[in-house]
Amino acid sequence: MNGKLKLFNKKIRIKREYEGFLYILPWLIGTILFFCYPVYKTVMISLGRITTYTGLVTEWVGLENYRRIFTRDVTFLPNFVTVIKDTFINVPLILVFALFIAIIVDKDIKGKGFFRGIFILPFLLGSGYIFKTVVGIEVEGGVTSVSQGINIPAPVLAYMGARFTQIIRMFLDRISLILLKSPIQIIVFMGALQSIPISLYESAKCDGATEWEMFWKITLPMLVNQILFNTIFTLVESFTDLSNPVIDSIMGAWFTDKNYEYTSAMGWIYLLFITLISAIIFAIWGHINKTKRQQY
Amino acid sequence: MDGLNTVINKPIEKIRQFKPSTRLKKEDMINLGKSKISYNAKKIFLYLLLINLSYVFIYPIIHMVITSIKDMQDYMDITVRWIPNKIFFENYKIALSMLDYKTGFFNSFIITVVCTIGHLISASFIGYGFARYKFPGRSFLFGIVVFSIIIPVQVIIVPLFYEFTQLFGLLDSRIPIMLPTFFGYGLRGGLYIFLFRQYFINLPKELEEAAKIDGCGKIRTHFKIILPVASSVCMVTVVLSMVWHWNDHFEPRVYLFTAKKQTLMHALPKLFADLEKIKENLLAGDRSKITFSDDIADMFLKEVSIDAVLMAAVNVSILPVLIVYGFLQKKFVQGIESAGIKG
Repeated sequence: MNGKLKLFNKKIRIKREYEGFLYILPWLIGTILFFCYPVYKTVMISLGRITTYTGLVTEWVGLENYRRIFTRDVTFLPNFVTVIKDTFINVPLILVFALFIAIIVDKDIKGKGFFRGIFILPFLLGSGYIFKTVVGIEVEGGVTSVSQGINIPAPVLAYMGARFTQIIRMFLDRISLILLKSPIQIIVFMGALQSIPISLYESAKCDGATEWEMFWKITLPMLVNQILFNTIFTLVESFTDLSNPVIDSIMGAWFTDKNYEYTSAMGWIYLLFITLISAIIFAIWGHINKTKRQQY
Repeated sequence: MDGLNTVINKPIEKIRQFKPSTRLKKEDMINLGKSKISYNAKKIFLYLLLINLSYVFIYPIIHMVITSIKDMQDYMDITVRWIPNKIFFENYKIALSMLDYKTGFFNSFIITVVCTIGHLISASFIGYGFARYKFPGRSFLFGIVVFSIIIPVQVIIVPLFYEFTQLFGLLDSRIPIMLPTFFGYGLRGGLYIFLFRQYFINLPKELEEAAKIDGCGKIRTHFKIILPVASSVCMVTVVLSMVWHWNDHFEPRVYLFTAKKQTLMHALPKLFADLEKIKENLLAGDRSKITFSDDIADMFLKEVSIDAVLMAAVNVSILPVLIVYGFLQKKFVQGIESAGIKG
């Protein structure tokens, strides 16, 4: 009897597994066609030399292309360093500003919908060509024009000199660019803030907590998942951004130089960096969720 | 089946409409026992801050609109910043005729609609599969999903291009852009799988079980019950996919090369170079390659600035997305809020 039951259970389990596979079947096909094959090919190309272009037949040369990038290329390493620097500066700043704006809008103010509508606008422009045109059309002058509307009073200018103005401008430009890159993050944070139960704040107030303490002890812990999601989202956005110099040089090499082996190698170095960062973030995410579950 | 649908939707509708009559706000709690003056001062400061911030956000749009209606004189004049002396619509005429707006719009529209539908269907099925079923290697496969989000298309585009053009023989075709979306790939396809999976993991199983007991098939359950229940995630998927596909110019640039199949975003970068060339030609007296009429060409020489035309072109090409988003905005924001992005 017991054996029969076991067999029956096993049958059901196998049937459920089979059903699950049926659901993700399209994705499995897609993975082979649009993921595994191209990824395998780029790895082979980056480790070799293309002999025939029809079918991308390659000849194995080992790490030759990678060596060339690090020893001969003068543009890649500086670009790469810029990207790493930008990633480590911009991503935290985007998160902080998005959270800041979300908290302000979440306060009891009139015209919430209006501000929400405005904050999503840069997203509709996309991070692609339009954004580059609008923001970058006056870049040639050396300073981007996003913050040109903010006028520095003349006396201040006369007193502090041009250098000071330039620094202020650069600072404002950086902040404006960061703000323009954070619409989705703002919306995500706004949604999360609204779902925090008021009773938490109520009880904290009864126990005499200040607003500052409430932020660190209630708001932030309740937003952990959203912060991690936004981190990943921001990273992905910055990786595929058009103003990203590495992606720019990769694209340039694809389209104009047609130096596929070299570009693939560049792509893989970049991808390694991306994967490393994302893996770290996901590890943190998993760890936090684990400790959360243990607490309850 | 319709009966079941209404039975399911009714309680949800009721829950949505339910609002307690006296409801404390978070603000009331935080500001309990503070003086009214400091409260008001804080509020004024908040409004000022918000207006300042929204200036940064609204600046690109205002800049685009204002520049697009400036003529040469206003454009060169530094003192004319926000309010041009006269409204100059010829920019739009030139932009529309040079962009070949009809074909561009049609192509963008087809790609956007098909890809959005593809992402919606595929991501909902795949996300459901990942959330509901336990099968060997699930977490590893989901890891691949996440990896497919973070990998930039630019890195793997050449093998993909060769695959489509040589193995499948799809030269200058829209299919290479549309097909992957039906398999959970395409432009950030993994992200939508991720969103659906996170939503379904937190969703109770009872609804689907009830449908199963009533004899509802898997596919029918999916379209009649699961998608309506997950409508908030669907909305988020639709809006994100729509906007990104409309604004994408990388894939169209790779896969489509004849003018007949150009999308709007694809045509924009070309426009700038074309404009400069045309202006040079006109200055040299060569009118053979101009698509617009002679009187506009005369005007073009004297009064039109290239940047203004470019801005007009940008405006008309994002206008459809702005309009559609205007209709969907409320539901989109609600979608992100109610579905939430849950870890």
